[in-house]
Amino acid sequence: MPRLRIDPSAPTPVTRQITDGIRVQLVEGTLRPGTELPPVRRAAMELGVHFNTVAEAYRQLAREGWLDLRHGRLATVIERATPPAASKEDIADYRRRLRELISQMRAGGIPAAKIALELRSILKGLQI
Amino acid sequence: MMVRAALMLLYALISLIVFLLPNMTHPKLLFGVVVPDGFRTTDEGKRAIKAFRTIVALSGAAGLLALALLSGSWFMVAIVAGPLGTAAVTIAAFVRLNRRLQRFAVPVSPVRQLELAAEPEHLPWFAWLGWIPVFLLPACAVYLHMHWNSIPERFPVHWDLNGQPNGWAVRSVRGVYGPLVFGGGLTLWLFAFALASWYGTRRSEPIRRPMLVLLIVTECIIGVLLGRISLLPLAAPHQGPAGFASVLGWVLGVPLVFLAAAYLVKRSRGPNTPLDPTPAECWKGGMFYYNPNDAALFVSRRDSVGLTLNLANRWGWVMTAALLLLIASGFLFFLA
Repeated sequence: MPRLRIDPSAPTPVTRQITDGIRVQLVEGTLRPGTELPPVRRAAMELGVHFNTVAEAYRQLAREGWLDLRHGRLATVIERATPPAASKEDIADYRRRLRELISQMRAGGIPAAKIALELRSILKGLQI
Repeated sequence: MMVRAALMLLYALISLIVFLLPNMTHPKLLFGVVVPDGFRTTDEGKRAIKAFRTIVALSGAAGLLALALLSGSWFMVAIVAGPLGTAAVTIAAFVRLNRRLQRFAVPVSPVRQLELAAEPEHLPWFAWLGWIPVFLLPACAVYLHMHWNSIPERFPVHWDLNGQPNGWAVRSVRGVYGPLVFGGGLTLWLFAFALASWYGTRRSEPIRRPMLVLLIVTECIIGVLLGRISLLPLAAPHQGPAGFASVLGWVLGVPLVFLAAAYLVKRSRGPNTPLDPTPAECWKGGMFYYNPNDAALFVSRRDSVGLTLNLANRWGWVMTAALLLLIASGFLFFLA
């Protein structure tokens, strides 16, 4: 059973933690098209956050084309159309975020070789 | 004399439960504060528990003495003031110890997890028993209607501590069906409260199920009791629910409910049971939970056992207001 884990004390906003956590499972294929996500009310209660926090995360994923949100129905994972190629600005932004993360890992004492191994392992897990 | 002894026993039992309060909470909680493992056995932990117990014991002894020695109208004052005084003193001691222990507080991991599956929520089978009193009371009304002519023109509705009737009602729609209307409202409220506690509590909460059992059982007991009271007009005029047997029933029944609650909840609170990571700053005095960013309606208590309302949730206030309205209307009805 796929699980979402959040840490409200982390510096990353909870909405983004939820969006990122679900997106990882969507990209990895753990959540397949047709899967229904928990209702906003229950998800918010279990995560100890406000309804709007979960609703906003679901809306963000719907905007990205991962979810179908219809009134009165559960959020459902849908087959996502191939996204348009990322712009140069987007790639520059991802690169910046990756650098920040890798710098953080290096500062935390993780050797470069281990980071490279982790990245390869993650890419393999994402079935890219 | 017997009534006095029964009331003293009841008061002593309630005081004993309050005395044992520090033993009833999660091992990592002491006076609403999350403390390190083994803190209770440290000098500071022992001192805090001893201070609380001393206050409860003194307050309980004072109440018992008042019940034993006072008579007449002062005895009636002691009946009301005793429990209220004990409650006030206990709360004050609790809040003081909560503040004192804050410097020993340790953080709880705030990480929460959610299963990403839309499994439907199945209500446990026993929750359906909550419909019994909801149907029982209208059945009593039908029975009363069918035996309307057997109801005396005047019948007792209130009894003194010795079981002698001291309040009467006449055979009218209001006099006969009044208790049923009140009972219907109360059981409906309790049933709604039980369901709200189920759907408004996190699934990961270990005492969610025991609390539902407890609330449904309480609702059924109250429903049966009020149904029985509503049928009293059909009994002989001198018969009443008071008297020693009835008082003894209450004396034994109330602590039994308390002990059953403690047992059910304690069973779900082993030393390895994780604490609900509600933010410490949202607990006021270690007793009241106010978190507008938490969608839960009920959370696990930190001051004792059971669940408490998230005071930032408007539905909690709606339920509280509905109960107060119900009680107030009941009082007004009986006073009239």
